[in-house]
Amino acid sequence: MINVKDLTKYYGNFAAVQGINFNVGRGHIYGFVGPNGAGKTTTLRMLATLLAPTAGEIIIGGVNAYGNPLHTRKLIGYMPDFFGVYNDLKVNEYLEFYGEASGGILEDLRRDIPSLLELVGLTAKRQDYVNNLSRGMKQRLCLARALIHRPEVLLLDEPASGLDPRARVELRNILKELQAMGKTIIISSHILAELSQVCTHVGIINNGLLALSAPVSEVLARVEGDAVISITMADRQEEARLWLLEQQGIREVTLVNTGSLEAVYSGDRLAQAGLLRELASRFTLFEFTPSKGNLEQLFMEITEVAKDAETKN
Amino acid sequence: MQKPRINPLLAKELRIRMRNWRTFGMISLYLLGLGGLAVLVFLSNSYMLSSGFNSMAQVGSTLFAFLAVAQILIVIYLVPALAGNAISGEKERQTIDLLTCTQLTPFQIVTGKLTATLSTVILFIVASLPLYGFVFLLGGVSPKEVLLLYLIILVVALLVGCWSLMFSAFFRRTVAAIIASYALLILMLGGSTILFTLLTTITTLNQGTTPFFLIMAFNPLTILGWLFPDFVRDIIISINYNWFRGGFQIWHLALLVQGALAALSLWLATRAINPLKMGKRKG
Repeated sequence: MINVKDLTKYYGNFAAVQGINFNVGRGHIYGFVGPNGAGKTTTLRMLATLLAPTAGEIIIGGVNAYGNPLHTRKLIGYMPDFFGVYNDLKVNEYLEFYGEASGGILEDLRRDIPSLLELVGLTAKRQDYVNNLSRGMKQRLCLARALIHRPEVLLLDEPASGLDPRARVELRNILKELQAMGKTIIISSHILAELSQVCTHVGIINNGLLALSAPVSEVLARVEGDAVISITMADRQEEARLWLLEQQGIREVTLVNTGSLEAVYSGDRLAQAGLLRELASRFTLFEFTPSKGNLEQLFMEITEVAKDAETKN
Repeated sequence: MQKPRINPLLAKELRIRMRNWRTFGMISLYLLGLGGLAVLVFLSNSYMLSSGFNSMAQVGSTLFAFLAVAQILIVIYLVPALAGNAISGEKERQTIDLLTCTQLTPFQIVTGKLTATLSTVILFIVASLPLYGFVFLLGGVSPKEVLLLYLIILVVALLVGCWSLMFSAFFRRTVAAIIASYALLILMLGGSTILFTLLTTITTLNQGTTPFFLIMAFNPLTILGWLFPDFVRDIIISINYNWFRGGFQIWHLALLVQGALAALSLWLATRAINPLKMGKRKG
C-alpha cells in the first residue's frame, strides 16, 4: 500500500531524513519509532504531502504522492502531533466542515458522522462546542476528522502523547478496530511497549536513517534471546535460584528485595514455556512474567550505537 | 447533474464570524461612526439651507459625497483587520496543515478566505442602507449612484482583501500581517498623494503640466472617479493635460494597476500556502 524509496529531506545543509526505504502492506500497522529529532515527523509530513522531499519517491496506493497530491490526500487521513481546532464550532459541525472540504457530500456526512463518533467514543459530545472538550477528547475528535473521508491509510504522529493511561488504552482499542476495518496505519510513538502491542511492523529511525524495518514478531524474536523473567513464589526462593542457575539458557538469577527472582534468560517462547512447566512442578508459583521491554531494549541498543559513533566522530 | 457547492471554507468562516461578538461590535462602531458623520454633515449644511444658499438636493448630494468617501476609507481600513488573520490565524491555531490535507486546493483556500471577507463587507454595506435612505429623503442622489458606490466599495474591498491575504499567507503572526497590510495601505493612500503633490508642485513651476499624476493610479481612492469623474479629474489631472483619449480616465488606469497588483497578490498567497511549492528536489 505504501512504498517509500530513498526518501531524503534536507533543511539547508541539515539532513533530516537520509534515503530511507520501507514498505507497508495493506491492513498493516507500522510503528515508527525514534528519539526526538530523529526524522519521524518529517517523514510523516512528507507522506501526508505536506512537505516536498528533497529526493526519493513515495508511492501510496500505486500513486506517486508528490506527483498527484490531491489524489493522495483522498487516500490518507493525517493526524499531526500538534494540531489546533476551531473552538467556535460544534463537534458535528467540525466534522461536517472537514468532510465537505475533503470532497464529501453533506447528506452522506450527516449519515456517517454518528458511527464515526461512536467509534471514537464522542457520541454524547456531538452538540458540544469543540472548546469544551478535554485534551483526550480533542485527540479523538482529530482522529475522527482524519477518518471522515474514509481514507485507506492513516498517518498518526504521536497520537498518544499527552493522553492519560485510560485514554491510551481506548486509543489502542480504536486502532485495533481500524485495523479490523482494513485500514493501513503508520503510527509514530515514543511508547514502545504500546507499539509492540498494536503494531504488525516496526521501523526504528535515528538521525534520519532507518536503522531497522521489520515485522514486530521478527524484531521480538531477535531480542527475546535476552528476556528478563520476573518470578514470584510462595517460599524457597534461594532453592529456586540455585535450581534455575542449573537450567539451560539461564545466565543469571538475582533475588530482589521484594522476595522475587529475576532471571536473565536466552531462549525462544517454547523453551520459556518448558521452563515454566518445570518450575511450577517443583515450587509454588504466584507469578512468572517475561519482561515486556524487549522492543525498548532493542531501541536503546540501536540509538546507543548511533550515539557512540557520533561521540567518536 | 451535480448540485453547485459552496466553498466549505466560506460556510465555516461565516458560521464562526457570526458567532463572534467582534463582528457585531465592529458593525455597531461602523454604523455609529458613519451615522455620526452623516448628522454632522447635515447639521453643518442645514445653516446654508435655512439661509437659502443651498437646496435640499445640494445638501443631499454633499452628504452622499461625504458618506461615500468615509465609507470607502472605513472599508479600506477594515478589510486588513478582517483578512489579515485569515491565513496567519490558521497557522497560529495550527490548523493550516489539516486544511491543506483536504481536497481544497491552495487557490480554493485563498478564495474561500477572500469571499468570507467580502461577505462581511457586504454585511456592513447592507447595514448602512438606512443611512442612504436619509440621503434619498433629501434628494440630489439617484439609486443608480448608490448602487455604483456599493459596487466601488466591493471592488476596493476585493483589492485590499487580496493584498492583505498575501501578507497573511506570508507571515506566521497575524499582528505582523496586519501591520504589513496597513503599511502598504498608508503607502498607497498617503504616500502616493504626498509624492504626487510634491512632484507636481515642483515640476509644474518650471515645465507646466507633468505626467506625475500617474502615481495616483496606485491610490485606492482614485477609483472613486468611477462615481465622481469630474471631481477626481479636477483634483488629480493638471489643467488641460490631455493624456487620456476616448473616454479613458485615471480611475480606469487605477483599476487596471491595482487589479494587476491584487491578482499578483492572490497568486503569491496561493503559492505561499502550497507546501509542495516550497521544497527543492534534487532528483
